Amino acid sequence: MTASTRHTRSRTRQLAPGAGLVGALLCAALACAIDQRAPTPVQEWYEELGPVIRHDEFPGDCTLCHTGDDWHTIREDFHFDHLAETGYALEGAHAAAQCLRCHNDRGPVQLYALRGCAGCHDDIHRGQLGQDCEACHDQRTWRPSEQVTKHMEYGFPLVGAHAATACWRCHPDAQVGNFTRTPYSCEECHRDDLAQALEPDHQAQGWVAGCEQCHIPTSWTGAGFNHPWPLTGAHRSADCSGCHAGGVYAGTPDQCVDCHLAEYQSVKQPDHVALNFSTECQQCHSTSSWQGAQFSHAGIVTGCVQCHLDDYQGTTSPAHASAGFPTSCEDCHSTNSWTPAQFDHSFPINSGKHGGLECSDCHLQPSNYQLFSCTHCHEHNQAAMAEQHDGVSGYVWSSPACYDCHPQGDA
Amino acid sequence: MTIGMRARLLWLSLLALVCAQPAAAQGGGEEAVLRVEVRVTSVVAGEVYLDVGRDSGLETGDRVRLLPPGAAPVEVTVVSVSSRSARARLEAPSPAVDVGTSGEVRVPAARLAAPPQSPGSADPKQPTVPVQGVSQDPPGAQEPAQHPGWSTPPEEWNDQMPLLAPAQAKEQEQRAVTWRGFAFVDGQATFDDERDYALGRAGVDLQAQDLFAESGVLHLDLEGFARMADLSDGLDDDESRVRLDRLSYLWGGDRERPTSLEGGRFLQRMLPEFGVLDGVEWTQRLTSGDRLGVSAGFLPEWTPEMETGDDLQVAAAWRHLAGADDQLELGLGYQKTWHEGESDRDLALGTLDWRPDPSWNLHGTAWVDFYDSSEEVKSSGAELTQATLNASKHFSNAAGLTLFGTHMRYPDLLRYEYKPVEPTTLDDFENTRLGVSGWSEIARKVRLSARVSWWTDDEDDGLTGELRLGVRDRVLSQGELALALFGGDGKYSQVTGARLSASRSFASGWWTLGLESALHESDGFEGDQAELWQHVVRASFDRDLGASWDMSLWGDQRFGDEQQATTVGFSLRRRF
Repeated sequence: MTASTRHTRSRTRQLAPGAGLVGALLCAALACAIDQRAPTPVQEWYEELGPVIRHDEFPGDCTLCHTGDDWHTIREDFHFDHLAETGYALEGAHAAAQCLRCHNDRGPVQLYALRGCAGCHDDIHRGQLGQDCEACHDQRTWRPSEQVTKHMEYGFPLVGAHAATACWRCHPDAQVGNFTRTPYSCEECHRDDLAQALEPDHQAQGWVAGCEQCHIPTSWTGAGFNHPWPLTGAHRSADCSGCHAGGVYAGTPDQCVDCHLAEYQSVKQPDHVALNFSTECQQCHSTSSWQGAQFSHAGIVTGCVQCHLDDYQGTTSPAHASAGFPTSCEDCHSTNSWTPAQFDHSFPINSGKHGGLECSDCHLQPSNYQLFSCTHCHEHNQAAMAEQHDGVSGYVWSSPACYDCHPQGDA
Repeated sequence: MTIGMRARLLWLSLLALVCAQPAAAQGGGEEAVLRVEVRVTSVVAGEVYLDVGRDSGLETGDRVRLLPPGAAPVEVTVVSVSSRSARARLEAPSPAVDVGTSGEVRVPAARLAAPPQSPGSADPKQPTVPVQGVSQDPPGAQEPAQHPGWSTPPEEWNDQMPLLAPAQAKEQEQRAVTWRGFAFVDGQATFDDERDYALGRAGVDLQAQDLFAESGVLHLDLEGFARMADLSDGLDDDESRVRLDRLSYLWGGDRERPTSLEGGRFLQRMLPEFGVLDGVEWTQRLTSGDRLGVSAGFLPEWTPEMETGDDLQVAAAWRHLAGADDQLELGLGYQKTWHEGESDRDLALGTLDWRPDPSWNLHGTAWVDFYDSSEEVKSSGAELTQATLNASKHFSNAAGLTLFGTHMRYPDLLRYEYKPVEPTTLDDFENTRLGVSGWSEIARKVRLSARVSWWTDDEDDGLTGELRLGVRDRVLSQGELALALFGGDGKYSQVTGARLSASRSFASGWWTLGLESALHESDGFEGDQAELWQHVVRASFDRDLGASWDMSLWGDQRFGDEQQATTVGFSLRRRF
């Protein structure tokens, strides 16, 4: 046999819509009309059945079962401990079943018990699911449940869309009990989806197997798509063709700069080219946005202004440029943050009575930090200073003079 | 006080006295009690059966005084009553109470004045039986019905046989036709954001026995269904169909007739693994208990269409019974098929059913396919294409252990039997599963269950397990509360979860509620959805509608990561 001769025909040759259901309803109505006799009570006997059970293993006391008035009436309080007497508990629907459903002249019931459930019940699964019927069914409704666990045992837990999918979508012959040998691989069941996947054209790209490498079982599109790197931010809504021009997916480079070289070359704040920034954009940028770059300053101790000239020039408090601050940012700033800056002030402005003062408390002209004033504050008013410097030779009430004599701020 | 006033008071007093008289006669008189004689007909495990019942006025709770000869009286309490018998519990074991012991019970006469109408009494065919044992015959009692003359000839009997054994069964030609089966209609629909599913079914499974007065069975199993898938990707799928699963007639094969012949469409009796057949099957039971069978006909496709005519098969099977009490049955069979005239399947099948004692059960089945050199996918030779094994043992009804296993590969068939697969899958795929499950009643009505299994296929393997604790009739009266923890390593994902469930029975049915929550982790997926927390709430309600109808309603709601789906279903069934 060749693969080409294997069955590939369409599975759905339809009747007229609804004809099946209508026909089945008619069947059900017919079945209901066939027999209108009152049902036989549980554990009851009726004369038409005849005494089909041999009594040779029954106890001799007839009154245990019969009322004594006639052999066809079983006593109302008849009770038989099936578990104790036979080792088989009558559970679920079996507890309400008529004795004669199992104990009849079709054969010794022991033989049927020997075969398990299939001894009495036609196994529509044809034995292929084994004899552990209760792994899927219960004895009350026979309705299967908890299939997530059951599928787990075969290595295919029902997750995502599979959990809510109708059984017959994966087991098209479930209607006749054929559940076995459903393929596990995605592409075996999702051939139609594969054929529809044109953006991008999966088959043209040769993506015909291993769906799980890109998709998760929730949805074929959108969030369920597993790109080699996360499609976040602008990438999430980007058209595939933006990166995969011409519908060619194979060989598409996966480095940022391969697509974003123009941005790298054009950006001036900072000038990535001039500053010889690395072209590994992901060192500073995320896929969400160019803004909010996170640059690692590890190992950088000088040359800050090459990147931070804008910061230097734009700062107004204090106005670094006009004040003539040096461009050696590292003198005051750390690589952790611009603020707070730590300036090694030659005048001990960080301690004693001067501790905690703002720069502008002494440097009254923001444009020139070379200038400062000691005498404008109330404590250093001219009268008080004159009194304290009475007798000091060359005393002058001016700020430069203060600093000349008191470079450490103490008396 | 004037004389006129005294006269008016006297008249009023007399009037009040006259009005009060009937009430006094009704409420103040002593209730009439009847003495009912009883006799013990059976003594079983601390209980006695009495020869009188509801028709004689007995009710549950009545105290009966038994009078064993030469011993002190023994009091028993009636625990259940039928129309003509009662069961009473001995307060303490008493060797003096034996079959035939007489006694008495006093019952209110009012119970007999308006005896409850038993279902049987409404049947004009049933003989009317007078109240038994009552020393004072109630008015209206009728004479006992005369038993019709015995028509059954005396049976052979000797003193080595129990009394009345063997009861002679009616000959087949004497039996009335019996109809058994059920008709049903059910439906289920699932709705979620991207896809909707619906399935409706209706059908009948009918068996008519002794239809032609020769113990034959006519079996009809017919079902119609309509199913619909409405998918957002446009791959909708609608199908409706009427399917004949079975229409066959079976002759013989009962205790009296060792030969059977079945014709029509039916599941093969000797080895159901050979499938449904449109043809005939002949079986013969030997005196040793072994059975031989052969069958021939066409195999309908194992699909809802059940198209037939393409696959011809012949099969032979043998079932061998062994052991003192037929504890072991071995089955062997061989099936040969032709697909559209071309040789197709050569299948050998072996089955084993063994029950060395009532606590043991062992079942095993093996399918072996034989290929020749004409196969392009499979190599020539024999291949074990499927096997199942299930061995269980229970210990004093307080614990049980089961070993189970399955193995499957794809057989190389021309016949359409399984969903089409790629040749590589046909050649390479295999799945083997081995596991063990056990349960133990760790306390009264508290059951601990565990299930562990290992699976492997041609590429991967994994371990799964579930631990479940169920408490019956304690937290929920006539119900069960259970908690299960489960986890597993799947081919594409891993799952870890828990399930809480509750169920409770009531007079004519039961309900269940459940909550399941599981974390699914996709293997090798790095995206945001690599981990999915998904949950489901389930509920079902099942109840009988009278003696022959039952119905079910169920539904579940799935929610959580990337999931929002609702399923509802119903089922209505009539048994006859």
